Amino acid sequence: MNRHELELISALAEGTLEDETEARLLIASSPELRAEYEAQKTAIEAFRQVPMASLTEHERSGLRRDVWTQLRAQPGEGRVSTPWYYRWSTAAAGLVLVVGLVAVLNQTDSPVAESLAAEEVSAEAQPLATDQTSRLASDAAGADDSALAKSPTEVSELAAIAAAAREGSLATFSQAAPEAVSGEQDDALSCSEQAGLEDHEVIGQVEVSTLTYIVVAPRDDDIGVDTPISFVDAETCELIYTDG
Amino acid sequence: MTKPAEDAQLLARVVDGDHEAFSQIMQTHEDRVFSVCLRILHDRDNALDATQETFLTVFRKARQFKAKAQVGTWIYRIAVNTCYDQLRKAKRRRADALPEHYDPVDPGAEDAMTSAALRPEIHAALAELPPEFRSAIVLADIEGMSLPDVGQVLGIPVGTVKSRLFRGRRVLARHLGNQSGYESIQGNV
Repeated sequence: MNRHELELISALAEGTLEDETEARLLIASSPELRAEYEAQKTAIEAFRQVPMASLTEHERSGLRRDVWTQLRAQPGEGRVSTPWYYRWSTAAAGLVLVVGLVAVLNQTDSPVAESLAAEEVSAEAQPLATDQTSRLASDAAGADDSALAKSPTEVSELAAIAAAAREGSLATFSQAAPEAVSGEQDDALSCSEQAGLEDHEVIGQVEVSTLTYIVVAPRDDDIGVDTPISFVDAETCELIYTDG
Repeated sequence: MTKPAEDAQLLARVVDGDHEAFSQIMQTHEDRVFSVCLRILHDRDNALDATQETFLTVFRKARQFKAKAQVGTWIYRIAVNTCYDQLRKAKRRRADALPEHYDPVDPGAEDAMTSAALRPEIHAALAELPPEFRSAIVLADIEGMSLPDVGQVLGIPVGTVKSRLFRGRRVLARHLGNQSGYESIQGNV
């Protein structure tokens, strides 16, 4: 069978020929070509009945979350801020927390109740934050409204980024072009040293809830599941959180 | 589903740093990218990984998009190449393809698997095809893409697309019981 015959038989089977005369004559001329046409037609019909696969809602939300986590975690040009629906969901969670707190305070209206409410907020942040979550934890205990709204979410986002760094899926300075990051890396290293992490190396820079964090890990350690990953505020050079 | 011109505008906004535009591109194409990857890779988890990697690449390379092709075609080209990469990596790890499976913690996965399930003979035929033939069949016969679009996605001439489709359909026909005497995919047309 030559290419012209192949194309005629395929097109006839696909139903895309405007004039089928030549193709019909061709398949009538030989049982072998007729059988080829029948095979093509049967296969096309079978393939066309294959249902389109779609994502489950669980897979869809996981996919979107993972894509944004990865994009937020990459340093330099490709770095992105959190999309609006994530920011709104964080704000909504914070609002619920604040409304709940106000309701409790209104109900009891006593200094003891006030202290209990602050402890409750602190306790909510605790499972996510370690003892090294200096600023986030103290913000929560201090019952600052904006800190209450973002701390648990922020800590869990940092924990997710730390996990990505351990898995090697965080785009690191060492993977980026040296000329693009050398100055930025020097600044980040100096900042992390100011935060008291002198024996650490900078592995990346991430943006979470509009704040930029320098991601650091102990120097000379191969990054693995047990490696502590620390986050330093790039603006204030304060140690914010250590995961692991 | 957005129109090609809207896709191009969205991608231009992504280049300008508009992340909502990127979300819209994802929403438009994520199911079809996943579907193509699932049919090429035969594994739901791997298809999810490939879909994720596809959109990360789309974001990172948005600036490199040339308006010669449609955005959708460009995205599916990235998806198919990502699937080829996965197949190459999987080949290094093990010889045989994994069966399609589902995540037991996802309550919707079993239904999704059932509704997307392939007839065994189609599954067998697709599994037998080399990846470059399988992707042609998936894009043209299963996803209903035009032959020129398939050619653009796969980076091959339309004549080669036709030839791959012809041979791929032969393999399925053999699995369906027709044409049992026909030569294998490696044979001459």
